Amino acid sequence: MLTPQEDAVLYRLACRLVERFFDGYRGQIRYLPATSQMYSFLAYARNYSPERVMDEFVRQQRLRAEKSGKASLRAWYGALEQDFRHGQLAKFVESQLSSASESMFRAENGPEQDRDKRKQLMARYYPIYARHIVSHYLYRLACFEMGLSGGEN
Amino acid sequence: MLARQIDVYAEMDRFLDEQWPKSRGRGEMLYEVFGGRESTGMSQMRNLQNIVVTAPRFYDIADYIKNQMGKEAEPDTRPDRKSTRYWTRTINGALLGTLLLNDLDALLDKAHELAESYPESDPYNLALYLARGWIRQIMAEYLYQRALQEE
Repeated sequence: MLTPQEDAVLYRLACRLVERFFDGYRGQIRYLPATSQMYSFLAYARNYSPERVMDEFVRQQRLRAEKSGKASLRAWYGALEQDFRHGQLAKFVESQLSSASESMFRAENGPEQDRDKRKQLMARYYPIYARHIVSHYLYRLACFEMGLSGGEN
Repeated sequence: MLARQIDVYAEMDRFLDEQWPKSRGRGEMLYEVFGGRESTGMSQMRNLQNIVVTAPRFYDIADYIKNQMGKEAEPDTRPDRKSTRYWTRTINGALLGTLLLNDLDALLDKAHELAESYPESDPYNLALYLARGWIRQIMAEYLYQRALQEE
């Protein structure tokens, strides 16, 4: 179970990710991911490990978007991948690992178990993070469709 | 410690009392949008109330409202779309869902403010308490409006 503070950070990061994407693609709604794709992403995130979500869903969708020449779709899935590997979510997981108690764990157990711990943390965060992403995406889509701006609500 | 806890809850109750006129307005607005039919309005309101009362985390409530808005946002244009808009109905230039999200933001701001005076309290748990008071007030007004219309 996540603490309310962890959840609040994940919520803010998810909103920021979606906001950045929408800011970059104003006026091109036909190339945005369909809501069905977002629900598929959510289902993957709920049922599989984050690595599997990336390999079997996000990367596949990005490659498909590349082939069909839909730049904004490719950018969306690229942003999800980047976020997971080196972006804000990865940094948050890293910051949690390097907190005081985690440092003790690191010293005792070495880099291999450090990797395992990172994996565990990511697996704990990702389903909730994905839910925040999808919810905020749907909200922005609703605002976009109505011609209204959304913001990090 | 217990006395401090009682203080913070008393402050939240006072805040909720002050918010009553605003919540009343929201309840009326929700009745106008959702109507009182069991299959539409009542079920939407009951689901919202259920989420607010049972949510383990504050942002579960925001996620729920955003999802409901998103369900109405499919970019297809069916002729009956207008009649199926509830959460994305425009009211004074803003979407209904956005107005509710703004209310939640205001509750969270208050919770953060209180948590500064009561550092032993968690602002997100305080915000959940405020949200439960908020939905109680809104639901009471919604049901009152429903009763008036049915007379």
